[in-house]
This record gives sequence, structure tokens and C-alpha cells, in this order.
Amino acid sequence: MSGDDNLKTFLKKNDVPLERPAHEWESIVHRISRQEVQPVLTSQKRFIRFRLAMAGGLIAGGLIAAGLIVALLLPRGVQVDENGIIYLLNESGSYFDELNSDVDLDLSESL
Amino acid sequence: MRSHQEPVHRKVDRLELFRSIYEANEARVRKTLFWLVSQDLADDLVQEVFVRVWNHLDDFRGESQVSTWIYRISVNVAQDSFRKRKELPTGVDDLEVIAPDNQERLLSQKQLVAQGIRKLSDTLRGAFVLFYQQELSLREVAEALGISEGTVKSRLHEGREAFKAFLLKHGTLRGGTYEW
Repeated sequence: MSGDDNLKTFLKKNDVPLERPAHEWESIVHRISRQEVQPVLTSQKRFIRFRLAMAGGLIAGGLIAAGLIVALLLPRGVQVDENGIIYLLNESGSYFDELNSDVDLDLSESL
Repeated sequence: MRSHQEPVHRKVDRLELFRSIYEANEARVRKTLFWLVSQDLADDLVQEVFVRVWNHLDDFRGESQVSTWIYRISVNVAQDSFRKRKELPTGVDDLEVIAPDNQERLLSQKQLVAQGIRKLSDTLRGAFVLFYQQELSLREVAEALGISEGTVKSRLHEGREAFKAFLLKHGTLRGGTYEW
């Protein structure tokens, strides 16, 4: 017998019996299933997050647009009191009230 | 990701193939890992080996035997485990402080043999275990480790001498009973 064979024989005599743990196969299948399902869940979550972000963006955009429209469409520097008297704001920030006596315009209806 | 696009029947075939590979190789993988690392770690790492087998099943081109391919994965998994833990896989240092007169009582020869193997460096241990424990041929060991047969021979020689020296030091070998 060669030295290598002697050593193999020696190691065989000192071998240790090993048992397969219960449910090892099931654990492996569970691990491979989980790693395959995980990317799908992640991509689904990403898609839902993307849609939520889009919806949020649309709502925010709509609100901003509405605000802008209201701000732009409302006549700036014009104020109408409860009697229908129109006040115009001059450059210094005070109102002309002469406009109502000089110009007889029924702007309240158009406003 | 890849398997989501597979038809169901293909997935079932793949799982059946995988199960047959597991049944045929589980014992040798466990034994290899037992000698390369320790019994505690071996069972966890067996799972890791087969998860890698599953992940790379389609990459196996059949250029070597399935068992040789799986041995290679097992050695890689064991080495990755060492890198993560950065420590010896067994309490070799504890062995050094045991008084010789108590040694036989405390440690059986089998334990000493296991520790002698695990005390080898990572590179020597892989070749040693595959050749002497698993009884692979030189060519198969070379394939499994991705090295030349000449390198395998040199590692085996070095490993054998280191293992023998360890056993002689701890009184396991008695005068010329084994010659290697």
C-alpha cells in the first residue's frame, strides 16, 4: 500500500458519521423561493410607489395650477365693497375712490 | 428574475433536477464542509452550497462532473465563510494548553484528526480534504480547486507533512504504525 492509501485508510478509520438535519430540503426550497419572490415584490412595491408619487404629483400640480389661475384671473388692484363701489389701487398702495363718481361703470356685474 | 419568465413545467423540471442533485450530493458536501470548517457551520453551509447550485444551475456546462462542480462550490463557500469570520474554524488554540496526561481523556483520536486537518491553512486543507477524505483523483481535485495538478501535488505533500507533524506532536501516531 502506498503512503497515500495508508493515509486514506487512517482517515477512514477516524471518520465521523454525519446526519442530515430534519427539514433541510424544505429550508433550501424556502430560501430559493424567497429569493425569487423578493425581486417581484420589490418591483411591485416600486411600481405602487411610482403610481402614488405620480398621483401626488398630479394633485400638487393641480393645486398649484388652480392657485395660479385664481391669482392671475382675479383683477389685481381692484376691490369692490359691499355697496358695489369699486376701488382701484394706485402705485403708492392707496385707493382712488374718485373713480366711482367720475366713471359710472357697473363693474360688479362683470366681476 | 430569470425563472419568473420560465413556463411552469420548466420550473418544475428544474426543481426535480435540483432535488436529484441534492439527494446525490448532499452527504459528500456535508462531509467536505465538516472537514473544511466544523460541524456547527457545516449544516448551515450545506444550504448555502445548494442555494448557489440552484442559482448557477443553468451556467453548468457539463465540462466536468456535477460532483466536481459541487465540490468547487463547497470549497468556495467554506473559504467565503472563513473570510467573513476571520478566525480559525475550530478551537485549535485551546488544544495547545491541554496537558499531555489529560489529553487522551479529553480528546478522542477522531477529534484530534479533525483538528489536525482544520489546523492546515485554507489552501492546503482544500486539497487535503478532497484528495484524502473524499478520495477524488488528482485531476478532479485540480478541477475542483481551479489549479494545476502539479500545484495539487505540492499542496498535498505540504499538507500531509503538516498533518503528520500535528498528530506526532499530540501523540496520536505511535512509532511508525502509519507511513505516509
